[in-house]
Amino acid sequence: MLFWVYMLIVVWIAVLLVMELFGERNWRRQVALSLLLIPFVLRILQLK
Amino acid sequence: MKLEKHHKSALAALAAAALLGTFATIEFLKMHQPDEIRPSEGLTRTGMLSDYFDWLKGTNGDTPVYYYEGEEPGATVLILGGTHPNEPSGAMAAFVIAENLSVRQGRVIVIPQACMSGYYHTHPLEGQPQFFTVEGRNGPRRFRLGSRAGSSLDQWPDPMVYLHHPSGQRLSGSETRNLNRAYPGRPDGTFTERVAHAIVELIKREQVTVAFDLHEAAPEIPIINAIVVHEKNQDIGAGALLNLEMEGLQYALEISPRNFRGLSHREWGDATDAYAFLMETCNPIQGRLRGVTDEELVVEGVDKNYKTALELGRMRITYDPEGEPLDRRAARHIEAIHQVLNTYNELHPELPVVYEGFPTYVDLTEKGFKEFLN
Repeated sequence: MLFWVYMLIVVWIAVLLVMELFGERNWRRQVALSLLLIPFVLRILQLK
Repeated sequence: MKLEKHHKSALAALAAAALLGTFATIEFLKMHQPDEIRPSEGLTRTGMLSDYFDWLKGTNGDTPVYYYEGEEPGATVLILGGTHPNEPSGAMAAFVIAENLSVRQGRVIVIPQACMSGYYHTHPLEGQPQFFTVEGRNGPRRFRLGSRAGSSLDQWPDPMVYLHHPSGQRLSGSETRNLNRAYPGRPDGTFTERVAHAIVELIKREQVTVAFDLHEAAPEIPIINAIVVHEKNQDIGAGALLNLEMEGLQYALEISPRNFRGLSHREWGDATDAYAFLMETCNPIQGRLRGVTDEELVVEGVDKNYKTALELGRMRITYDPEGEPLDRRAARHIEAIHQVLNTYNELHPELPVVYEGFPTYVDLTEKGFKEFLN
């Protein structure tokens, strides 16, 4: 159960980051957001 | 749908992040590859520790077990390296033995990395490298360095006080993941207790006669260069010590304290018929005085702080100012095993173990791992 709560939080933050990324107009902030997204995607894929 | 400019840049940023993430993942996953062992032709079969306790199957507690069986029946010997993965000479001695051994009478069972969970992390705040490399016969060989304790990913949280089962002895909570405080273990205990239980099951089922647990300690710890024995086999230990002195190797003989529970030299001896031995060598990367802790310190064992301490007369033990190289520390373990088994064979000629292929102390210190790792 704890695992799925954790996964839900990670997926939710990843979705927010993607939404923010596509709403952002400054490319520097877009790069920062995409880098921030990496660890969340790796956690979702259970790689790290 | 027409993409706006900032949507295109978002997609480009995502693609770049995916590329970077892929490379990072490939590198990260390499850390999960197990250390490679290239056993000698004397290997007769390979198993896993989980063969003795099913629960371990598929967990980080499972670890390979190598069997070298002679044609004639005789004594069964267990050699355990890597109980503490930050004490590399024990695992390296076990690797060297496994890659050179041939048994004519009796059996030798080798577990080079007993606490596999501890190999998947390093100890917090110690700044130790994750890997080290030594030269083998066919080029460089990379080995893992790990933590004294099993990983928190396998056993969490640590209690404030660790209660040893079954004695009820109280130790610091951090010792709860220490394999060498968990014996004899129990099948329904913590992760570490279950690994300990599997090892004790192996000793019982394989009717191990002589069992070795190979360790290291910081240069300032008086127990280094000691052989710790269960009281029932102190005669073998004393005989081995004399043989080692004849070889020019100084050791201290320590009798396992009856009231210090959970350690292999106490619990293996109490819970099974095995003659239990624990050996220690001098490991500078564990020392409190050490400086930069890198691969070179792991392999060469040269630390200027210890040299200074020695010159100031602050060391209670002999520290070689030229360093304590890993091959020499592994050689001490191997020679000590030799001499214990020689003494055992003298005292128990009815059930000996006869083997060949072990390098001697002189061979390994003069030629290094290059001649003895495949």
